[in-house]
Amino acid sequence: MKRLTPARLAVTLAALALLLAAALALGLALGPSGLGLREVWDALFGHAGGASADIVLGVRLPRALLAAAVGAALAVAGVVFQALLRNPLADPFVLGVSGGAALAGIAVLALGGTLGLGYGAVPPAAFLGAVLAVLLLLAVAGPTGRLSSTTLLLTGVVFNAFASAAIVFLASLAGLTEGAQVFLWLIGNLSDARPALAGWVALFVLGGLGVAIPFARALDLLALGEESAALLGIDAARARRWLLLASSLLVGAAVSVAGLVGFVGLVVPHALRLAFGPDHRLLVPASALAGAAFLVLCDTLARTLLGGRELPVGALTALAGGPFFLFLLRRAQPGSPRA
Amino acid sequence: MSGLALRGVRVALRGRPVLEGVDLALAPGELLLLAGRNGAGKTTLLRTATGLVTPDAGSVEIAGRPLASFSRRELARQIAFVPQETALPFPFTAGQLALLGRTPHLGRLAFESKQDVAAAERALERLGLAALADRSVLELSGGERQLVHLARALAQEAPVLLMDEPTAHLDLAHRALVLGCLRDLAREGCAVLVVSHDLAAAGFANRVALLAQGRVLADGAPSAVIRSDLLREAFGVETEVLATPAGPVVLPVPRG
Repeated sequence: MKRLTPARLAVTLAALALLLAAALALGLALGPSGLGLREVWDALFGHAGGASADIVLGVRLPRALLAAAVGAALAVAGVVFQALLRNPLADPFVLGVSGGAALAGIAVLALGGTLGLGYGAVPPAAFLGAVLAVLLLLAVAGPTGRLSSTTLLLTGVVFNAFASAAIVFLASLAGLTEGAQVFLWLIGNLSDARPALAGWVALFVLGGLGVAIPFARALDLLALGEESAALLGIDAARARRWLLLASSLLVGAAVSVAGLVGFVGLVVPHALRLAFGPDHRLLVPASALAGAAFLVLCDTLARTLLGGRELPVGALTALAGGPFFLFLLRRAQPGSPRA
Repeated sequence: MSGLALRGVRVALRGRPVLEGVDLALAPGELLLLAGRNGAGKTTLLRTATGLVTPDAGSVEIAGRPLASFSRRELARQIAFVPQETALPFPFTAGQLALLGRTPHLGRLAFESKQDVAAAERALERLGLAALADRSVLELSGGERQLVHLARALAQEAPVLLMDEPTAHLDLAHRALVLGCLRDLAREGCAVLVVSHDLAAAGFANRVALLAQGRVLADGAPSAVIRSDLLREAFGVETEVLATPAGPVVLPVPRG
């Protein structure tokens, strides 16, 4: 009988860690001034000074780390939402949780000045926005906690439309002259990669992962339903509360620095489930590593695809994720065994 | 006494009385078939016995201790429950699902031990699922999936087993397999309570109880309970009951 053993878990995670390392190397090497891997290595480990070291350490490393942190956060949040709502179509962006976080973040940017709140208040606000959006979702899901695909999609569409409208409204109201900045938030991008920011986000993300990973087995049982989980000895309500906190932290952190990067939480867990099965003891840490690698690669592509000009990375993930989502939805139609 | 005991259990759901003064005891070694009309309170009785529903009055005891005195984990080692329907959103294999039944025996991050794997394999084997162990349950038929959920409960190795319509989606051969398996478990010392509309299951049970309007109408040996007069009272239909060596057979009699 096939099952997850500690050895299989270790080997799989090691392989994904290598994938992440390769993605990071590529992200550090590629850009307007292409660098060899040798130069990247020297810059990282102190054998070289000068221009290439400035580019690698000052520009590309913070950005690659930021991409890794945001990718890990979104992928793990996706896995958690999918298990909590018992629907593989759940994703922080599709559900509108990212939208809630972005709305709260923009509210601080637009109105915070009058209250004396600076940019530092954006991440906590985004976290609160994510929490509120999740609470609203759970209220819609009702006592069974299971969200049918139809309800899930309708709720997400409405949440997102509302959040986008409110964001545009707030931005206009506050006369945010940097209209382009609001646009970048809505589409999702990583161009604001200050080293200090990357550090803070990484901390949030590690915190969220630290909460989510001990509950990985509980996610397997919650996928059976809250009552079945309780009958197998799990404190389902407590597990849900902690997982809710963890996923909101992850989404809040990701959105406060990158805006609405969509579909990472959908594409990454699904691909991993196909490759390694649905056991969350593997799926949660694997999503963190693979999500990180995925967004580093997407962002590298976004930076280099158009030569000198930069694409917002959210445009790229949405271009890839949209059709993928439709494919999943098609497979989840009633009548197919996956309904 | 070990096993399960409900005493004077009264339950109202959303203000509507569902169970009224139910007394029902289940000893190790017994296979009890609980039957009754749709809406008679059978599922609520099972949910009350597992602690999912708290009775408004009366008590539930497991292994001689009040239900409320158990931690969730302790309780999961004492009692296994298979609900009517469990929708699964992810492609767990039959083997993985059976292993989930071992949860109350594991630590939080611990992986399954050899004993846990052996218990899951035994459970699959008993229900004829060994060949399906590595298949995704989403690719199985409804009946096969139901068997996998039963295997999960068997892997739990709890002394009290509660099943809500375990044979609902099964063909004749699998019905016989499941009921035979439950009878064997009772003979090995488990206390097994099966809710079913399939009165043919009485042939496998050593006790039958009829639930009507939230009360236990009759409780005793199959031949003493499966009687036309009691069935008329419980279900409101005329029946012909034939005694056969394999147990009583119930035929509904057409009206007029």
